[in-house]
Amino acid sequence: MSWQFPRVAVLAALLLGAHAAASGATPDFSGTWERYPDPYGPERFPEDPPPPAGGPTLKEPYATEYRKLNQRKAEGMKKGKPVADPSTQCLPEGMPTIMAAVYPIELLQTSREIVVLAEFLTQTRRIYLNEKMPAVEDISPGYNGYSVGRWQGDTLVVETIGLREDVKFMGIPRSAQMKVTERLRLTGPGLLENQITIDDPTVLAKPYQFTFGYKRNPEYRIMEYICDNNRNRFDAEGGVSLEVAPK
Amino acid sequence: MEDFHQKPVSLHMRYTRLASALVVTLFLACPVLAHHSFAMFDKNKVVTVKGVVSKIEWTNPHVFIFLDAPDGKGGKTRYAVECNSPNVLMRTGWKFNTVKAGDPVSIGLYPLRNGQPGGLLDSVTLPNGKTIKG
Repeated sequence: MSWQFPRVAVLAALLLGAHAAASGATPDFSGTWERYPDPYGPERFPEDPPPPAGGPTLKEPYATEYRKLNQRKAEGMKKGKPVADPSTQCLPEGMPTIMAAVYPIELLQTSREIVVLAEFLTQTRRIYLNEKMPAVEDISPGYNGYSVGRWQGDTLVVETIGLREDVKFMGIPRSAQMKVTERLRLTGPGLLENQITIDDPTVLAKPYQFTFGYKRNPEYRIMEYICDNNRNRFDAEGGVSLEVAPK
Repeated sequence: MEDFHQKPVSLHMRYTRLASALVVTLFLACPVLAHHSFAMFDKNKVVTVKGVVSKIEWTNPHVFIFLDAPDGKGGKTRYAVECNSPNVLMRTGWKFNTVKAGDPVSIGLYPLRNGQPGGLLDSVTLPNGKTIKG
Protein backbone atom coordinates (compact mmCIF):
# COMPACT_ATOMS: atom_id res chain seq x y z
CA MET A 1 0.00 0.00 0.00
CA SER A 2 2.93 2.28 -0.61
CA TRP A 3 0.82 4.53 -2.85
CA GLN A 4 -1.19 5.51 0.16
CA PHE A 5 1.70 7.06 1.97
CA PRO A 6 1.99 10.23 -0.07
CA ARG A 7 -1.74 10.81 0.16
CA VAL A 8 -1.68 10.39 3.91
CA ALA A 9 1.32 12.68 4.15
CA VAL A 10 -0.34 15.34 2.04
CA LEU A 11 -3.53 15.09 4.09
CA ALA A 12 -1.57 15.35 7.31
CA ALA A 13 0.34 18.35 6.03
CA LEU A 14 -2.89 20.07 5.01
CA LEU A 15 -4.42 19.40 8.40
CA LEU A 16 -1.33 20.64 10.18
CA GLY A 17 -1.31 23.74 8.04
CA ALA A 18 -4.94 24.40 8.81
CA HIS A 19 -4.25 23.80 12.46
CA ALA A 20 -1.35 26.25 12.45
CA ALA A 21 -3.57 28.92 10.89
CA ALA A 22 -6.42 28.25 13.29
CA SER A 23 -4.17 28.26 16.34
CA GLY A 24 -2.79 31.67 15.42
CA ALA A 25 0.76 30.98 14.31
CA THR A 26 2.54 34.33 14.22
CA PRO A 27 2.02 36.00 10.83
CA ASP A 28 5.13 37.04 8.98
CA PHE A 29 5.14 40.63 7.76
CA SER A 30 8.70 40.42 6.44
CA GLY A 31 9.06 41.67 2.91
CA THR A 32 8.81 44.73 0.74
CA TRP A 33 5.51 46.57 0.63
CA GLU A 34 4.05 49.38 -1.39
CA ARG A 35 0.95 51.43 -0.63
CA TYR A 36 -2.20 49.88 -1.98
CA PRO A 37 -4.45 51.24 -3.19
CA ASP A 38 -2.20 53.99 -4.51
CA PRO A 39 -3.24 57.21 -2.74
CA TYR A 40 -2.19 59.34 -5.71
CA GLY A 41 -4.16 57.76 -8.53
CA PRO A 42 -3.11 57.71 -12.17
CA GLU A 43 -2.60 61.45 -12.61
CA ARG A 44 0.74 62.58 -13.99
CA PHE A 45 0.68 65.69 -11.81
CA PRO A 46 -1.57 64.71 -8.93
CA GLU A 47 -2.66 67.23 -6.38
CA ASP A 48 -1.60 66.57 -2.83
CA PRO A 49 -4.00 63.98 -1.44
CA PRO A 50 -6.10 65.31 1.42
CA PRO A 51 -5.49 63.99 4.95
CA PRO A 52 -6.92 60.46 5.24
CA ALA A 53 -10.43 59.82 6.58
CA GLY A 54 -11.50 63.44 6.21
CA GLY A 55 -8.75 64.82 8.44
CA PRO A 56 -8.54 65.29 12.19
CA THR A 57 -11.06 66.97 14.48
CA LEU A 58 -8.96 69.56 16.29
CA LYS A 59 -9.60 71.63 19.39
CA GLU A 60 -8.96 75.35 19.45
CA PRO A 61 -6.59 77.07 19.01
CA TYR A 62 -5.12 74.17 16.99
CA ALA A 63 -8.02 74.06 14.54
CA THR A 64 -7.42 77.72 13.61
CA GLU A 65 -3.65 77.17 13.41
CA TYR A 66 -4.13 74.22 11.04
CA ARG A 67 -6.65 76.08 8.89
CA LYS A 68 -4.28 79.04 8.53
CA LEU A 69 -1.44 76.74 7.51
CA ASN A 70 -3.60 75.16 4.82
CA GLN A 71 -4.58 78.63 3.58
CA ARG A 72 -0.90 79.64 3.36
CA LYS A 73 -0.16 76.44 1.45
CA ALA A 74 -2.99 77.07 -1.02
CA GLU A 75 -1.86 80.68 -1.58
CA GLY A 76 1.74 79.54 -2.09
CA MET A 77 0.62 77.07 -4.72
CA LYS A 78 -1.25 79.81 -6.57
CA LYS A 79 1.74 82.16 -6.47
CA GLY A 80 4.14 79.49 -7.70
CA LYS A 81 6.05 79.62 -4.43
CA PRO A 82 4.95 76.61 -2.39
CA VAL A 83 5.33 76.60 1.40
CA ALA A 84 8.26 74.52 2.64
CA ASP A 85 7.53 71.32 4.51
CA PRO A 86 9.86 68.80 6.13
CA SER A 87 10.42 66.67 3.05
CA THR A 88 11.12 69.78 0.97
CA GLN A 89 14.05 70.19 3.33
CA CYS A 90 15.09 66.52 3.16
CA LEU A 91 14.08 66.03 6.80
CA PRO A 92 12.89 62.59 7.97
CA GLU A 93 9.15 61.99 7.89
CA GLY A 94 8.62 60.64 11.40
CA MET A 95 5.61 58.75 12.70
CA PRO A 96 3.06 58.13 11.39
CA THR A 97 4.11 59.68 8.05
CA ILE A 98 6.80 57.04 7.43
CA MET A 99 4.05 54.39 7.37
CA ALA A 100 2.35 56.22 4.49
CA ALA A 101 5.09 54.61 2.37
CA VAL A 102 5.32 57.23 -0.33
CA TYR A 103 8.19 55.08 -1.56
CA PRO A 104 8.18 51.35 -0.73
CA ILE A 105 8.97 50.09 2.77
CA GLU A 106 10.62 46.85 3.82
CA LEU A 107 9.66 45.07 7.05
CA LEU A 108 12.13 42.76 8.75
CA GLN A 109 10.53 40.64 11.46
CA THR A 110 12.23 38.67 14.22
CA SER A 111 10.85 37.35 17.49
CA ARG A 112 12.17 40.44 19.26
CA GLU A 113 11.56 43.32 16.90
CA ILE A 114 10.20 44.49 13.58
CA VAL A 115 12.32 46.91 11.63
CA VAL A 116 10.77 49.25 9.08
CA LEU A 117 13.17 50.32 6.35
CA ALA A 118 11.77 53.11 4.21
CA GLU A 119 13.29 53.69 0.80
CA PHE A 120 12.45 57.39 0.93
CA LEU A 121 15.35 59.11 2.74
CA THR A 122 16.76 55.70 3.77
CA GLN A 123 14.83 55.88 7.05
CA THR A 124 14.81 53.23 9.80
CA ARG A 125 12.12 52.62 12.40
CA ARG A 126 12.23 49.93 15.12
CA ILE A 127 9.26 48.27 16.83
CA TYR A 128 10.24 46.31 19.94
CA LEU A 129 8.07 43.27 20.61
CA ASN A 130 6.62 42.24 23.96
CA GLU A 131 8.49 44.87 25.93
CA LYS A 132 7.27 47.24 28.58
CA MET A 133 6.67 50.76 27.30
CA PRO A 134 8.85 53.29 29.10
CA ALA A 135 7.22 56.35 30.65
CA VAL A 136 7.06 59.22 28.17
CA GLU A 137 9.26 61.27 30.52
CA ASP A 138 12.00 58.69 30.03
CA ILE A 139 11.95 58.77 26.22
CA SER A 140 14.09 61.19 24.29
CA PRO A 141 11.61 62.71 21.81
CA GLY A 142 12.33 61.59 18.27
CA TYR A 143 11.01 61.49 14.74
CA ASN A 144 9.73 57.91 15.05
CA GLY A 145 9.34 57.86 18.83
CA TYR A 146 9.48 54.65 20.83
CA SER A 147 7.38 51.76 19.54
CA VAL A 148 6.33 48.62 21.39
CA GLY A 149 4.31 45.87 19.71
CA ARG A 150 2.44 42.83 20.95
CA TRP A 151 0.49 40.17 19.12
CA GLN A 152 -3.26 39.92 19.66
CA GLY A 153 -4.17 36.85 17.65
CA ASP A 154 -3.30 37.61 14.05
CA THR A 155 -2.98 41.35 14.72
CA LEU A 156 0.14 43.19 15.78
CA VAL A 157 -0.81 46.08 18.02
CA VAL A 158 1.92 48.73 18.12
CA GLU A 159 1.93 51.72 20.40
CA THR A 160 4.23 54.66 19.79
CA ILE A 161 4.96 57.58 22.10
CA GLY A 162 7.93 59.90 22.59
CA LEU A 163 7.30 61.78 19.34
CA ARG A 164 8.71 65.22 18.67
CA GLU A 165 6.02 67.91 18.76
CA ASP A 166 7.50 69.76 15.81
CA VAL A 167 7.55 66.74 13.46
CA LYS A 168 4.04 66.76 12.05
CA PHE A 169 1.91 64.47 9.95
CA MET A 170 0.57 66.58 7.06
CA GLY A 171 1.05 69.70 9.14
CA ILE A 172 -1.42 68.57 11.81
CA PRO A 173 -0.66 70.09 15.23
CA ARG A 174 0.29 67.69 18.03
CA SER A 175 1.40 67.65 21.64
CA ALA A 176 4.23 65.78 23.36
CA GLN A 177 1.58 63.43 24.79
CA MET A 178 0.46 62.17 21.40
CA LYS A 179 0.13 58.40 21.10
CA VAL A 180 -0.09 56.45 17.87
CA THR A 181 -1.64 52.98 17.93
CA GLU A 182 -1.31 50.74 14.91
CA ARG A 183 -3.19 47.51 14.30
CA LEU A 184 -1.38 45.57 11.59
CA ARG A 185 -2.74 42.39 10.07
CA LEU A 186 -2.62 40.42 6.85
CA THR A 187 -5.98 40.76 5.13
CA GLY A 188 -5.37 38.52 2.11
CA PRO A 189 -2.60 37.03 0.01
CA GLY A 190 0.13 39.68 -0.10
CA LEU A 191 -2.04 42.31 1.55
CA LEU A 192 -1.30 44.13 4.79
CA GLU A 193 -3.55 46.57 6.60
CA ASN A 194 -2.51 49.19 9.14
CA GLN A 195 -5.34 50.75 11.13
CA ILE A 196 -3.90 53.84 12.76
CA THR A 197 -5.37 55.71 15.71
CA ILE A 198 -3.86 58.96 16.95
CA ASP A 199 -4.76 59.90 20.52
CA ASP A 200 -3.87 63.38 21.65
CA PRO A 201 -6.45 64.81 24.07
CA THR A 202 -4.65 68.15 24.27
CA VAL A 203 -5.01 68.80 20.55
CA LEU A 204 -7.65 66.44 19.18
CA ALA A 205 -11.33 66.66 20.04
CA LYS A 206 -11.54 62.93 19.34
CA PRO A 207 -9.05 60.24 18.29
CA TYR A 208 -8.02 60.47 14.63
CA GLN A 209 -8.40 57.12 12.86
CA PHE A 210 -7.44 56.08 9.35
CA THR A 211 -6.10 53.06 7.49
CA PHE A 212 -3.09 52.53 5.26
CA GLY A 213 -3.09 49.43 3.06
CA TYR A 214 -0.05 47.80 1.50
CA LYS A 215 0.65 45.22 -1.18
CA ARG A 216 3.64 42.90 -1.04
CA ASN A 217 6.13 43.17 -3.87
CA PRO A 218 8.53 40.22 -3.61
CA GLU A 219 10.55 41.26 -6.65
CA TYR A 220 11.43 44.80 -5.65
CA ARG A 221 14.64 45.67 -3.82
CA ILE A 222 14.77 48.84 -1.77
CA MET A 223 17.27 51.31 -3.19
CA GLU A 224 19.43 53.97 -1.59
CA TYR A 225 18.00 57.47 -1.18
CA ILE A 226 20.39 60.03 0.26
CA CYS A 227 19.02 63.54 -0.02
CA ASP A 228 22.31 65.41 -0.48
CA ASN A 229 21.58 67.68 -3.43
CA ASN A 230 18.65 69.79 -2.37
CA ARG A 231 18.23 72.65 -4.80
CA ASN A 232 15.23 74.08 -2.98
CA ARG A 233 15.91 77.50 -1.51
CA PHE A 234 13.75 78.98 1.23
CA ASP A 235 12.80 82.60 1.80
CA ALA A 236 11.97 84.21 5.14
CA GLU A 237 8.30 83.24 4.81
CA GLY A 238 9.14 79.60 4.10
CA GLY A 239 8.44 79.94 0.37
CA VAL A 240 10.39 77.60 -1.89
CA SER A 241 12.25 78.42 -5.08
CA LEU A 242 14.71 76.46 -7.18
CA GLU A 243 18.48 77.00 -7.36
CA VAL A 244 19.22 76.66 -11.06
CA ALA A 245 23.01 77.15 -11.12
CA PRO A 246 24.98 73.90 -11.47
CA LYS A 247 27.35 73.00 -8.66
CA MET B 1 0.17 65.16 0.32
CA GLU B 2 2.46 68.07 0.75
CA ASP B 3 4.94 66.27 2.95
CA PHE B 4 5.51 63.75 0.28
CA HIS B 5 8.00 63.60 -2.46
CA GLN B 6 7.30 62.81 -6.01
CA LYS B 7 4.89 60.09 -6.63
CA PRO B 8 6.65 56.81 -7.22
CA VAL B 9 5.43 54.88 -10.18
CA SER B 10 3.63 51.76 -9.11
CA LEU B 11 5.91 48.87 -8.45
CA HIS B 12 3.34 46.58 -9.91
CA MET B 13 5.01 47.61 -13.10
CA ARG B 14 8.25 45.82 -12.56
CA TYR B 15 10.46 47.09 -15.29
CA THR B 16 13.60 45.31 -14.39
CA ARG B 17 14.44 44.50 -17.97
CA LEU B 18 15.83 47.84 -18.95
CA ALA B 19 16.02 47.20 -22.66
CA SER B 20 12.31 46.68 -22.97
CA ALA B 21 11.58 49.20 -20.27
CA LEU B 22 12.72 52.14 -22.35
CA VAL B 23 10.10 51.23 -24.90
CA VAL B 24 7.45 50.41 -22.32
CA THR B 25 8.03 53.73 -20.64
CA LEU B 26 6.43 55.51 -23.55
CA PHE B 27 3.09 54.05 -22.53
CA LEU B 28 3.39 54.65 -18.82
CA ALA B 29 2.01 57.43 -16.80
CA CYS B 30 5.07 58.75 -15.01
CA PRO B 31 3.69 60.98 -12.33
CA VAL B 32 5.92 63.73 -11.10
CA LEU B 33 4.72 65.37 -7.94
CA ALA B 34 7.75 67.32 -6.92
CA HIS B 35 8.26 67.35 -3.20
CA HIS B 36 8.10 71.12 -3.32
CA SER B 37 4.92 70.57 -5.32
CA PHE B 38 4.41 71.36 -8.96
CA ALA B 39 3.61 74.99 -8.21
CA MET B 40 6.98 76.36 -9.37
CA PHE B 41 6.36 75.12 -12.90
CA ASP B 42 3.78 75.93 -15.55
CA LYS B 43 2.08 72.61 -16.01
CA ASN B 44 -0.08 73.87 -18.87
CA LYS B 45 2.85 74.35 -21.22
CA VAL B 46 5.62 72.11 -22.56
CA VAL B 47 8.58 73.92 -24.11
CA THR B 48 11.01 72.02 -26.32
CA VAL B 49 14.68 72.87 -25.92
CA LYS B 50 17.43 71.38 -28.10
CA GLY B 51 20.99 71.46 -26.89
CA VAL B 52 23.92 69.58 -25.45
CA VAL B 53 23.97 68.15 -21.96
CA SER B 54 26.69 69.96 -20.03
CA LYS B 55 26.17 68.08 -16.76
CA ILE B 56 23.90 65.59 -15.09
CA GLU B 57 23.45 65.39 -11.33
CA TRP B 58 22.16 61.86 -10.58
CA THR B 59 21.21 62.78 -7.03
CA ASN B 60 18.36 63.09 -4.55
CA PRO B 61 15.89 64.55 -4.08
CA HIS B 62 15.95 65.21 -7.83
CA VAL B 63 18.04 64.37 -10.82
CA PHE B 64 19.10 67.52 -12.69
CA ILE B 65 20.07 67.77 -16.32
CA PHE B 66 21.89 70.95 -17.35
CA LEU B 67 21.37 71.69 -20.99
CA ASP B 68 23.29 74.27 -23.06
CA ALA B 69 21.10 75.57 -25.85
CA PRO B 70 21.79 78.31 -28.42
CA ASP B 71 20.29 81.61 -27.27
CA GLY B 72 19.80 82.90 -30.83
CA LYS B 73 22.40 85.65 -30.31
CA GLY B 74 25.47 83.57 -30.86
CA GLY B 75 25.70 82.54 -27.24
CA LYS B 76 24.27 79.80 -25.07
CA THR B 77 21.68 79.56 -22.35
CA ARG B 78 22.06 76.95 -19.66
CA TYR B 79 18.78 75.32 -18.68
CA ALA B 80 18.36 73.52 -15.35
CA VAL B 81 15.97 70.64 -15.90
CA GLU B 82 14.55 69.03 -12.80
CA CYS B 83 13.68 65.35 -13.13
CA ASN B 84 12.20 62.79 -10.81
CA SER B 85 14.34 61.07 -8.16
CA PRO B 86 16.85 58.42 -9.33
CA ASN B 87 14.71 55.67 -7.77
CA VAL B 88 11.52 56.69 -9.53
CA LEU B 89 13.36 57.10 -12.83
CA MET B 90 14.96 53.67 -12.42
CA ARG B 91 11.57 52.12 -11.74
CA THR B 92 10.46 53.41 -15.12
CA GLY B 93 13.49 52.03 -16.89
CA TRP B 94 16.13 54.76 -16.68
CA LYS B 95 19.74 54.07 -15.82
CA PHE B 96 22.20 56.50 -14.29
CA ASN B 97 23.84 56.85 -17.70
CA THR B 98 20.72 57.06 -19.86
CA VAL B 99 21.55 60.76 -20.29
CA LYS B 100 25.23 61.72 -20.27
CA ALA B 101 27.27 64.90 -20.44
CA GLY B 102 28.03 65.66 -24.07
CA ASP B 103 24.82 64.09 -25.40
CA PRO B 104 22.91 66.16 -27.95
CA VAL B 105 19.30 65.88 -26.82
CA SER B 106 15.92 67.46 -27.21
CA ILE B 107 14.07 68.06 -23.97
CA GLY B 108 10.43 68.85 -23.39
CA LEU B 109 10.01 70.74 -20.14
CA TYR B 110 7.36 72.48 -18.09
CA PRO B 111 8.99 75.91 -17.68
CA LEU B 112 9.70 77.62 -14.38
CA ARG B 113 7.00 80.19 -13.68
CA ASN B 114 9.52 82.77 -12.43
CA GLY B 115 11.10 83.04 -15.89
CA GLN B 116 14.45 81.52 -15.03
CA PRO B 117 15.91 79.16 -17.67
CA GLY B 118 14.76 75.80 -16.49
CA GLY B 119 11.82 73.60 -15.80
CA LEU B 120 10.53 70.18 -14.99
CA LEU B 121 11.32 67.33 -17.36
CA ASP B 122 8.45 66.01 -19.43
CA SER B 123 10.43 63.92 -21.89
CA VAL B 124 13.85 63.65 -23.44
CA THR B 125 14.76 62.51 -26.95
CA LEU B 126 18.09 60.71 -26.74
CA PRO B 127 20.85 60.74 -29.39
CA ASN B 128 19.57 57.35 -30.62
CA GLY B 129 16.22 58.92 -31.42
CA LYS B 130 14.28 57.32 -28.59
CA THR B 131 12.01 59.54 -26.55
CA ILE B 132 11.54 58.67 -22.90
CA LYS B 133 9.35 60.24 -20.27
CA GLY B 134 10.82 61.80 -17.16
